[in-house]
Amino acid sequence: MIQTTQHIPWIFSITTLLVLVTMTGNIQGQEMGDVLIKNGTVITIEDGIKENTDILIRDGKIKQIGEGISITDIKTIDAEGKYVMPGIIDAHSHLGLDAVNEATNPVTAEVWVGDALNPYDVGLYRALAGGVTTAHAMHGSANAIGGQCETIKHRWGEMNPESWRMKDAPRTIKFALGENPMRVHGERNNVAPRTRMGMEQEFRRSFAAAKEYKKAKLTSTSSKNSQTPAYSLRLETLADILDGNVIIHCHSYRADEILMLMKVLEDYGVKDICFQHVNEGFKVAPELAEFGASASVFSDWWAYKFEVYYSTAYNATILTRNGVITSINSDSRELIRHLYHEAAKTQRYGDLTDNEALRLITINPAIQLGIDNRVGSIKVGKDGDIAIFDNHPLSIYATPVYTIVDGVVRFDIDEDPNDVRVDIDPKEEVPAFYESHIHDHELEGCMQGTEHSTHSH
Amino acid sequence: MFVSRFGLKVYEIFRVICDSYTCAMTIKHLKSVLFVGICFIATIYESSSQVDYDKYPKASNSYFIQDVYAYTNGKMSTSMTNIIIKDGFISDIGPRVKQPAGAIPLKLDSMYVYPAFIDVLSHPLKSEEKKDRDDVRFPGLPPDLIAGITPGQSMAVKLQTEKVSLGKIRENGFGISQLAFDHGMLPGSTSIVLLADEADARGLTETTNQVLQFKGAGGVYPNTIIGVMAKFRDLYRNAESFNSNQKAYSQSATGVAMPTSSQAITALVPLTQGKETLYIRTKKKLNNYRAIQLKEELGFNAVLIDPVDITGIEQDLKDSRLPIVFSMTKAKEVKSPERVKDSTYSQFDLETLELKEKAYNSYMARVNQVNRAMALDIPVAFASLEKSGSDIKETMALMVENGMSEEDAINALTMSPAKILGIENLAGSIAKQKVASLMITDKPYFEEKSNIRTMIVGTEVHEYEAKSKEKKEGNSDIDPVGKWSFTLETPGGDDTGKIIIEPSGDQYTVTIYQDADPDDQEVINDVELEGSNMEFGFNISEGSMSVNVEISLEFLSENEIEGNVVYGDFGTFPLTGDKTSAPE
Repeated sequence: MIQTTQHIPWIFSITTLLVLVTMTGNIQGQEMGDVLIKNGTVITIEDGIKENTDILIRDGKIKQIGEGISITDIKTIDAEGKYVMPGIIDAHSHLGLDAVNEATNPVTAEVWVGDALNPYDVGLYRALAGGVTTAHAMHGSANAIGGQCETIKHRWGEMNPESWRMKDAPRTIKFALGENPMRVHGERNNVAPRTRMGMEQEFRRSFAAAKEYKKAKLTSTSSKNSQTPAYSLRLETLADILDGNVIIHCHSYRADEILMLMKVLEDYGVKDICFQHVNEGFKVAPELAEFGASASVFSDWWAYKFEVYYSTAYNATILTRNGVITSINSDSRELIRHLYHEAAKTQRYGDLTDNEALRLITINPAIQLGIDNRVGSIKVGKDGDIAIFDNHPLSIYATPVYTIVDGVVRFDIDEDPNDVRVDIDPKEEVPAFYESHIHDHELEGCMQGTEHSTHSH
Repeated sequence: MFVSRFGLKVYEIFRVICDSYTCAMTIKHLKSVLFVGICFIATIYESSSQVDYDKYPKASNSYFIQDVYAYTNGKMSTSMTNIIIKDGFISDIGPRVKQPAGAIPLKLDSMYVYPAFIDVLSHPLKSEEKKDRDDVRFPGLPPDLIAGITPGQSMAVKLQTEKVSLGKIRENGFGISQLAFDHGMLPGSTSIVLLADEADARGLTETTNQVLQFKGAGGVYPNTIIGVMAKFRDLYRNAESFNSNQKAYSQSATGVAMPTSSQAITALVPLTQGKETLYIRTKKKLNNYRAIQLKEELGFNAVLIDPVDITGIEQDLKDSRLPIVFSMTKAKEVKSPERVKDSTYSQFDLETLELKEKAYNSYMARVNQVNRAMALDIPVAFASLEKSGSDIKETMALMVENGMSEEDAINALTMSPAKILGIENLAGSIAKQKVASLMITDKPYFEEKSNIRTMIVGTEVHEYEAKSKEKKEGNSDIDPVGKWSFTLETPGGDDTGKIIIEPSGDQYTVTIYQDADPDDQEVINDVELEGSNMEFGFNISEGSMSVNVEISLEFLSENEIEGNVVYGDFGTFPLTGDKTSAPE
């Protein structure tokens, strides 16, 4: 069932290559697979834990959950003694993107990282090896209103970026508060926003302009003698936000700014927002809950810049206990490989139950991305996205052994080659593993493309 | 005649003065340049009584080619034939065709006549002069010129007002080329011309096209691929709405404000109407998908240029139904590593060997990619781009060596590009009524020792000597060896440093460092000089970060360089420099 290019040998004869091309003719379509997982301990997330249970995935969808399902003509995975959970979802990632920040203007609502998808980034395979099946590929935090993001499924091996998009996932956009946009635009370019007061004005000015634009478009269609206003992809996008068609994901740390943005959104009637990082979220948890905002946090990562010192490892728990839909994200090509450990930390610090902890990396991020009808739990009718562990996923000894996306096994620990690259540049110098001294885990984060030496989130 | 010639001359001299000031030119300098220019004009007026009268009309515009082999109907004829050319067109062809009265006979007995090659896209001009970024108060809102958005710039106009030399491309077998600007994301409209020396003899078609490059503007909007994509969508939609507003206005102007737009938006209207094609320079595997994405979304006609590597995505490209135009420049060869039989490899050695084999395999897959595209019936052709097509024979020979038929190779240089450019009724084959665009060789083209002896481009005939010796590659006029000081423009301010180039066999060793930290030197070995260009790269690590730096240099003269530095994903920054000395 594994149909990834990494297993295709390199063959020079044209005819053989042509055969290969025809074999992988399903490139543009999103490949859907069939698989039967037998006798696992199934952590459904929304319907308890089921021992010795089988899951049948047909055409990429979960068809049946039960005992003693017997079908012989499809790939079968023996999960006896193993833990079967929904594929992990990361609500904040920058993997697989050729560009993260269009850092030249404080408002760039028109740009879209979906244009920059790079499915050949080996970091994506490593994420799969950490059980992550879906990620929110985000624009960076250089701008007050950054670009639109893209929800992707980790269909490693598919060469066409189009087939990585999670079709029908709602549109999302990155906002950012605080130091990052102030530094990029205020300090460096000497333009607004220079202060947190200025930040607020960026949002108000943008929404006001979008409102005017909508009005002008309306007038032009209702009156014969007026022309359509000059087209602006930026204002079109902002107008879509006002119309409730785009979910906001806002990079934030300080409580005062979080309250500020909620006030601005209230004034413009915008409701869908997930605060990202939100290290001071614990201070305003009731307010977030009342607004209906959600929160996507780190388990215990802070102190990398001034506004991120007032933090606590109890953040996820406090938010959860206050009724805020909370997730734990990676924002890093290293953390994404063990989000299950990150979730487990909330038990050490906040005493969340197993299910509450696992919700942080499954159904909760799915809700924040508006895709909980398709992924985030094991349920008949949902996508066949599954992570299988050799131990309980919250155990420090847990290792993912299979990762399945749409019923296709995309990671199998027994078939895990040294070099998984699907796109090889003949001129690229790749050191053998034993010589490797490049620490590339810091080559990402939401400030990439804006500066060279500061690590920021 | 006299007046206009004189006018042109003054303009040219003035331009030369301006050019020589380009490096240091800012708005402040403009006034003094103008003053110097005016003084020069006054001097020239005095001395311009000597006018060049050597341009008498030719005795005849007819030529007769007797007893040659001609490449017709997709193959080389086995018997000899004759060809008559009149007023730049093939007026007759056949073994019994006789020399008409007044036709000039061309001595080409027993030679081989091919339709001259067609170059789908070339950049014959030096890169545009540097724009002064200091003027950009808001990096998010730069003037179109600085943002690289100049689709209103016309190559046809440029060819009329400036002397542009096309002989270099012609000497490699090309009769027709689509000339394009190369600055920025939307550099300007193209012109498809005969590669004649005289500007008046180049006319072929009125068709113009546009070019899109996925090039960020370097520190100003749009800086990245996501910015370029969004900006293109915005401009395109604006062109559409401007067009429809204008139509409405022309039908009933009463009470309606006149539609306004920028020069850039107006220039894109023909593209939105299907009157022009967008030639998209992709340069990266994934950019092909981005090009297809824009085309599917907006619905214009498009051609993919320089996809570099299509391995593994052939079927998707086929499904997009876009023609693919490959670069003529030969890829740097990657050698197959040797596995020594019966030797025991350490784990490290084995892994290194496997990595090298993969690199070699990927190189071979690229060598064969044009062939695979052909096998899928994708229309393919070639473009000379920044070079003059001097690699073309080697490039094609390598493909032929690896299984492409010679006929397919010739087709990809003649009829196929003619169709892509929409000039198949005019050119691309040897037939009556077609433009006389012919390449004549002394042996069949693919024979190793064949030489191009004559190029006929419309009304011009250019003759070449057989090459006696293997010409050394590259422009021998340029000697890169020496110590160069450079200035790199970055959004964070200018950076200065030195580049030391030393010879090492046929290649060069390059040492580069910043003035701020002369001890931190990068040394790059085995750098090649290709024409007047040099490319090299290295990896830098800062703390836990690691970034690939790729530098491309062009030697403008003995002591002047310019180029670009691609700093990983952080952006591309322009570099200029001067020679300070020979290496110490």
